[in-house]
Amino acid sequence: MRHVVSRTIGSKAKPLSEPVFLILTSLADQPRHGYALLKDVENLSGHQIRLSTGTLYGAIHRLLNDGWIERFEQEDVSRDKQAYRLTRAGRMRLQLELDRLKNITKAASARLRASEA
Amino acid sequence: MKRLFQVMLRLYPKSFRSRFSREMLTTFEDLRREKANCRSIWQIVFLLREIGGLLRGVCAEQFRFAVGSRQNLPAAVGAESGVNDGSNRSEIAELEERVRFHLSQTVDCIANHRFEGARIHAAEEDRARARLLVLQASIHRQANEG
Repeated sequence: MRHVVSRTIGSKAKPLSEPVFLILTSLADQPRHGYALLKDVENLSGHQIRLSTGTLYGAIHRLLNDGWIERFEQEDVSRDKQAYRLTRAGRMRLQLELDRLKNITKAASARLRASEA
Repeated sequence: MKRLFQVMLRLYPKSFRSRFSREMLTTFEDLRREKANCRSIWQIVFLLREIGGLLRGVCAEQFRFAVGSRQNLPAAVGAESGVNDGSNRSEIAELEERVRFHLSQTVDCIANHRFEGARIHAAEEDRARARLLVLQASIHRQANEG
């Protein structure tokens, strides 16, 4: 599966911006609405990144258009709190980004070890 | 604060506003409530960050809307229908972009024998095409009624 995932969207895919990466990561385990997303992104980034409402919804707009996230209807919340969840395409894109970051981390570690040796 | 936020939301393109303005306002209100007990300096920092984010968002969305409308709207649809609805034009442009993206990915996957990926992209392309057809039919219907 991992093999398929990492090759499906193509190696030409651009690296994700940090806010987009964090939003996709936040939605990886469960659907979330705007405020919950902002708080989770803040926690995920160790309180380093605080997205504004405008930045968040700009990113959500692009992710919806790309088909990486979709609206998710929750019965227990008010209709003004629209939740979003990751689509299969979004999950694949996140996996591809994780693989890319792992490769970079591996290369960086190897070079550090080589320079220390 | 809420009033200022509402006024600034009006600067977004209509299509964006109709999809997100209520959610954005709710999210902003949640954040504002959270900051209500903070010192006033932090409330000012919060407000400035929100205004800055909105201004950047407005510029980005207006740019996307202008470029999308100019490049992607099929001339025939607008001309035949006489409909100049910003919301539909923007969504049509976005859907066409999605169709092109998923189509190219499907072809790429098939060429490289990645059939699982091809299936997923083909399904996404179908969804975008279905929505596109509904929108275009709606525009033509409006034109005929008019």
